[in-house]
Amino acid sequence: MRSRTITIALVTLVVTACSGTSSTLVGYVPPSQKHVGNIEVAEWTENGPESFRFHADAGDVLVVYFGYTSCPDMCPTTMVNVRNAKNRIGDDLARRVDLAMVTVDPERDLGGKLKAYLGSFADRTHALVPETAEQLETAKNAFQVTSTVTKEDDGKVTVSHSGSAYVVNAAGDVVVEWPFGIDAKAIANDLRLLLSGGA
Amino acid sequence: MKARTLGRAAIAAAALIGPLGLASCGSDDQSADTTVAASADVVIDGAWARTSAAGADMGAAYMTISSTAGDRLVDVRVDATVAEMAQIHEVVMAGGDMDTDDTMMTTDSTAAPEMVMQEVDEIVIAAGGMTELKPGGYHIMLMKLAAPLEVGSTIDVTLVFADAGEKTVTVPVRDDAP
Repeated sequence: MRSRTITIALVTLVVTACSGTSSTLVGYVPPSQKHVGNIEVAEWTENGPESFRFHADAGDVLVVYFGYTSCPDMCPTTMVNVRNAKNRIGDDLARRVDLAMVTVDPERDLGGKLKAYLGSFADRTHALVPETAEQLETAKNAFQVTSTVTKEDDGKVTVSHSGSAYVVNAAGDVVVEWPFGIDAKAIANDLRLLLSGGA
Repeated sequence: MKARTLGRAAIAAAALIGPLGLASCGSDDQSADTTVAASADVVIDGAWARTSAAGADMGAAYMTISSTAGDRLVDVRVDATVAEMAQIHEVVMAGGDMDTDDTMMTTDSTAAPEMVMQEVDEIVIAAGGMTELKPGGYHIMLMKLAAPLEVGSTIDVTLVFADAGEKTVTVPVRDDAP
């Protein structure tokens, strides 16, 4: 079932890449409601941790990504694509895009590290650093994200994680998922549609 | 330029659905190369390294490598002023059934594939072929950056090939793929 899901999302991607902007969402729309608004994760702030719940402000969208700051390839690729997409849609729409990243490697992403990292990609960010393993698992399960951190004897740490980004609305529902590799143009298309109420 | 951008998007998508073999938009901008294969030389093109985000201690460099006679990229090196170590990495889908909580494995699971980055021993460049190092695929991982990678700067990356030997490439640092 999973592979079918991915195929559908990617076929859509290819079609859009060939035909220009789309009047429908390019990303993958979950068939059954995925409600994440009741999930609570600690947000790092300068004044200490605060409780964060996954929902956008009224009229805005919240982009959620699960990653880690030592990730050289997939995470910055996705973050840059989101940033470029925001540049494409203009300031008025872009300022209504909120960005949250949940670290799947909370042991290493301590302090303000994740917040500083996100600041390289957006002004409006939430650095979510789960305080317990359970908190991380609960968030991952809600989004149906998987990740694994493996520590080897020589101290090497390997992190594997799902590559999708998720868009959450003000009601706390996932409205679209962007698989890894989706480009800025497709993301801009979806943001425009979601923010203009066209999707 | 537009065609290239679209092509890249299609390539990125195609890379993900590789086994399905969906073609890209039908435009193939690889020009027909009629160069006679005369030496075991390699050509490196389109090299770039991503700017490192604040606090990020890892970086990645990308490029395309072509070889008329075929070759293997067996090692990569950077100066200590760039990073502590460089390695050849690849991002792959985590294999098979993952160890996941039962709670996740609902029948309509939409869980995205788990991807893992791993070191590889070598990258094979087929004779007359071109191998792309790109986001979500092969890349040169720069571990423990000595300084942030900033737009407008360059770094030297030495590639070691089984046949062609060492080649040092000056890699521009960019925000995004060229």
